[in-house]
Amino acid sequence: MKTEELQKYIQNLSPELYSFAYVLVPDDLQASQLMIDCVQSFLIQKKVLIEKMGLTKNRILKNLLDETKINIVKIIYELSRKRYQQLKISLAEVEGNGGFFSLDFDEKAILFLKEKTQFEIEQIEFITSMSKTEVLAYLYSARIKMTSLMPNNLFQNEIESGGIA
Amino acid sequence: MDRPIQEFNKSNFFSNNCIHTKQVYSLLDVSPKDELYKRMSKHIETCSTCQTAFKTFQLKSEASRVYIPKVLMDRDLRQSFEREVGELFKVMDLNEREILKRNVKKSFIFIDKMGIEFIQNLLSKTMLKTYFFALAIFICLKLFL
Repeated sequence: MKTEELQKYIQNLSPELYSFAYVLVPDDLQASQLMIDCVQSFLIQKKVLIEKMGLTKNRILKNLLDETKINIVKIIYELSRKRYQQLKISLAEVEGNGGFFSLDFDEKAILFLKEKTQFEIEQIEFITSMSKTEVLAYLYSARIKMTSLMPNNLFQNEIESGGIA
Repeated sequence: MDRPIQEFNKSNFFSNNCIHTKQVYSLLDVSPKDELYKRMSKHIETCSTCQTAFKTFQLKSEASRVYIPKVLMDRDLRQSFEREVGELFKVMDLNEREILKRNVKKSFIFIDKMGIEFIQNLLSKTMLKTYFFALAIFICLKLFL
């Protein structure tokens, strides 16, 4: 596989990466800087592997692009966790508005990964370096906070009529 | 974290009639292969309290998805990111040609080293003794045969 392909692959990941970065650090410039830092960190960490990729046949490294994505998302999560602590005060206004952004850092990350990126629970465990129990607990807590935004009797008719399977 | 959980529990989502009602959420996120999933889905078939609680929770979770933002990236930001990634690949010498160049260079260094070592071995003390010994045998053979 050519390294140019990897470069294009990373470049095409930008909308997904940006969305995740913005959810964790809700600021345009911080989120885009976070993405660049994360790619740089990925290239430094995996330089030897990437060099080997350039000289190896395509079929052997087919899964490597998926691994690249999950590794980059993991680095974004780790970097943004540190940066979030430094920027916490300046982000207080956005978080104070309530809704999704008022969730805890890990709740936001895990709920977003589960609902918007379709990662499996095992992959989320890898990204967040948490156990399955911890991931499920954060997910549950996040879901409860999100559902508490809605009135209790909102779906009463659908439930009574058996509207869902 | 505790406050919303308390509010949620108060909100009649989980009735006190069945002790399993508090676990119905697991059906949304746990894999169908998981033991907990199997146990809960079996239970929910027979328990109307849990069934209602699960339906409510499922509907609300589905509806709350709209509150999870999927932020779109500005075109300028995207172009800037693509440019930066390209630069990073250049700076890190990760272009195909650069990697090949480095590998060829490495191979030449390896061959050079082998050549130098070969010459050094030819001129080593052990080899000089060997030459001398071989010459002596050659002279002896010439004289006596």
